[in-house]
Amino acid sequence: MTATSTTPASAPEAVSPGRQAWRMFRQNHSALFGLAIIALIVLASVFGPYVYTVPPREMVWMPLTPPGESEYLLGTDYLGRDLLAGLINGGRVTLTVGLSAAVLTVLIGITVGALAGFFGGRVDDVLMRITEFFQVLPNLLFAMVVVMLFSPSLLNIAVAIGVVSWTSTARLTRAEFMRLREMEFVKAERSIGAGNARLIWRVILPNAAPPLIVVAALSIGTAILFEAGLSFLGLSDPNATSWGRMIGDNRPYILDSSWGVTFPGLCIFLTVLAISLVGDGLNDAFNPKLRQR
Amino acid sequence: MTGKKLLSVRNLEITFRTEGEDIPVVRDLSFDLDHGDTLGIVGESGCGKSITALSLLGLVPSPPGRISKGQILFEGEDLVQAGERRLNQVRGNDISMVFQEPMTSLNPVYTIGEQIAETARVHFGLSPAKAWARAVEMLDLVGIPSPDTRAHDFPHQLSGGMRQRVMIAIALVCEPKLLIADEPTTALDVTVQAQVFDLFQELKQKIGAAIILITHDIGVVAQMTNRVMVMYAGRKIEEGPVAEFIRDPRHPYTRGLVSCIPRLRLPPDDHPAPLFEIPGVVPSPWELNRPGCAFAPRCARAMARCRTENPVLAPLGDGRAAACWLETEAAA
Amino acid sequence: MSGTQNILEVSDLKVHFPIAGGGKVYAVDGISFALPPGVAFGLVGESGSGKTTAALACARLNDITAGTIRLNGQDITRIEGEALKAARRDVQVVFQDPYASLNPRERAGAIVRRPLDLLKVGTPAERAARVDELFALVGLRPDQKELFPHQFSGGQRQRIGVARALASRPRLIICDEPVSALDVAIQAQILNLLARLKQDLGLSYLFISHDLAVVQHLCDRIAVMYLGQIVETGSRRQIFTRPSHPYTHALISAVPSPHAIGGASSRIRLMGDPPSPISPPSGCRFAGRCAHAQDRCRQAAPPLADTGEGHAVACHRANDPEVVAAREALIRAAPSG
Repeated sequence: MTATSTTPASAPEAVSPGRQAWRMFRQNHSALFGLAIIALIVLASVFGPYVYTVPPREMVWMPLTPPGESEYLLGTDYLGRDLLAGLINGGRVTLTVGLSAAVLTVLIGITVGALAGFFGGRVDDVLMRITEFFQVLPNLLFAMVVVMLFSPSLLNIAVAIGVVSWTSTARLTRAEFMRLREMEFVKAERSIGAGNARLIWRVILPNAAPPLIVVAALSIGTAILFEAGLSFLGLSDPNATSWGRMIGDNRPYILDSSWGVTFPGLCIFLTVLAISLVGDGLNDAFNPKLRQR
Repeated sequence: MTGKKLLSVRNLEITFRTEGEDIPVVRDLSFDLDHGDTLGIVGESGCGKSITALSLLGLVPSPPGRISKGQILFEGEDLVQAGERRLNQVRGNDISMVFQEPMTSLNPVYTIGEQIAETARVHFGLSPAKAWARAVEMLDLVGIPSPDTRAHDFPHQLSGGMRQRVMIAIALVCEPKLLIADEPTTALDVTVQAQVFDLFQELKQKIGAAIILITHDIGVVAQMTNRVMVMYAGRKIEEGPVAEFIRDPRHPYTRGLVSCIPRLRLPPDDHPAPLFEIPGVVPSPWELNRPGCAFAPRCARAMARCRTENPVLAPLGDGRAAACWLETEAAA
Repeated sequence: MSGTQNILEVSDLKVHFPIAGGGKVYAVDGISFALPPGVAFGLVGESGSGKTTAALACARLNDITAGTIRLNGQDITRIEGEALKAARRDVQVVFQDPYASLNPRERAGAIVRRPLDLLKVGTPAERAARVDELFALVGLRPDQKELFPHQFSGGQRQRIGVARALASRPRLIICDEPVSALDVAIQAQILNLLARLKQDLGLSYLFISHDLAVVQHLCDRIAVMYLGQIVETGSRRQIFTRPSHPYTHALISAVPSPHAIGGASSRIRLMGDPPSPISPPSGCRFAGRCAHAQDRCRQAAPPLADTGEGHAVACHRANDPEVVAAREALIRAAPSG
């Protein structure tokens, strides 16, 4: 249907699939906007505390001061702590938990899905039963139990989130592997002596990567929301204040100081939105329909 | 004169928008088709043959594609100007199409009888019972054994050959005046392909529809059609009656196309000579903005003129024509 | 010794696949053939005939249910590990679809080099030189090594596929419908390339195709497969001067010829589609579609009987006047060489 593509005979320039995707991504304005927001939030969280040195956990002003009425730009919370400092330092916590939970989600999900999809048969049966078991667990409840059983440290929270969220990644990976393992280039690799390990990790996985990258990106957003939920319920590291915990802490005073809940909420909203925009952009950039056959 | 033709395509140009640029994939294409005529359109992938077929049905995917110039006169009415509603009528009643892949063209959740009956009901306003009877009749027409029980089958219960027969039944149920078949047997086995072509032969007599057959296989064209039109890089480069065309192709590209395929011989050659090769590859549409004949870079007999001036389609007598400077200069 | 020894010997090969919900696909059901060095052996049949399954089994790319495969005299049916790697150097595959058989994430040069790395052929410097040599051999430019598969046309991709198959200097190449996904004008380029390489490098081919004209052009010996079994085998001359199985007749008759304009009168037509290899009929598997079938055909499966000089046919009625007459009509109608 589509025209045969030939590179001009004179100057062939290698265009990798990754570079092709980046070219597509670059043309997507909302995705770039999302990327810019993420960059801003990450920069603020990483370097912010060195630039804006107000201690986030100490009383610095009158409690419940509205934004703009003191030198503390976003006002103070019910303990007179600076909201802006809280947001900057809370961003660190939120992003750390979100990112590590997402990494765990993706690691477990890809490993389980890759093995199930590649080997099929008995291996697939066993791994899929396990996946189903985790899928039918009530996520929030199970994560709460895990966090309560072990202490609510950041690490445990991230692990709890990762352990309950990997199943959809596993299913997607499995489906991609089942599709790709029948492709001729996989057979071709086998015919030149490639073993299973190479086929799984070096041949099939890079080709399955596009949808997995999208899911991985989106799972950061999901993990952030999950963490906010847990914190809101009071299950948070007592030594670290995330955005979710800020919302939870300020909730009783919402009628007197809406800003104490609004600003951390806005931060979560913006971050997750930006991640979704980037995820959509990646999805479009990898969309094989826009590529040649 | 054009009023009498069933189909008359005039100076058709179809462009696709790619990276902000309108790239023509079909250029200055004109051809005619009479009632009951059979025309083969031959060419390699990317030559524009399939998109030409889709344009006749108003199905050029838009965006990115669009018909940027020309007319498609169907019984004198210009389909390029027709609205979507009118095109729907034409598609249902006058022109129908059989696609390459029968599996993806049938709806898997309805029985084949329902799918044919539905078309019959919409287009003839038949009662459900009458439409069903018509569906069974159509299945019988396309050679499906025990059609009254088969009508209750779902597409996945049929073999590839049977599915393609069903597609033909659906295409024919509204008694179209023009049937377009785009590589209708490419997905089928050779022995089944032969059956489907026999069916087309048989139906050609029974239904009296004109047929446009799109294929890359010269052998198929020879068996199925009266006239053939060869496309290269979006242009018609040769046309004529099939017998003369096969015996004596005039354009260097068609000459190559006819002689590059291995032919079955009984008894065989003991030492088959190498096949004739057309060197190089089909140019991409991006490369076609330069002047000259699109085939010149691959043509062994290209002259200086071929690289600077695009050859015009020149009549050669007996209803034949070719777009090649060699022919033009030989005639002069 | 190796001058006369067969490159490939397949005896009583069976490949059965279990299917969901019980039952089996009898994809390949007891085939035997031998491939002398320097010979192109064509395996012809329709979908479901098991030709591709059989060929890939010879490259140890699917599980073998029964039978043996000998490569250069060595039984490779069950070998694993290093022994299998060593065997793979000698048998390589050119796949059907050049759009699917090249890893989209690797550069052309890396794809061609990969077998040398994985099969441990030569030193790294030798491998790099070999890749250059291979690119030249199949008609690609050295600067194209850096490009990715999507930057090539179908014909060029198949050239990469051929170069990859040649990398480890195998003696046997299995060609699985190597031109059926290509445009007609490109098919000739690849077929000529394969013919030239066979000549120049003394290769043997196991050539899978559904296209009799292609097989006739390239192959010295031919086996016709139907539902997992060989129904007729012989030299090119034997198959195309005395085609003896009614299925072979039908295949020959089904080839659309540019010189048989409009003529369909003398054609042999099969009814229906090939039956499913899940539950093949007892007796002769072709009987259900055969115009000459009798009761004995449906009861007992005909053996593949040698009619002399290596031409073998599995048909009870191959020598009956009715079948012989059908063959003669077929030959009369066909364009002669």
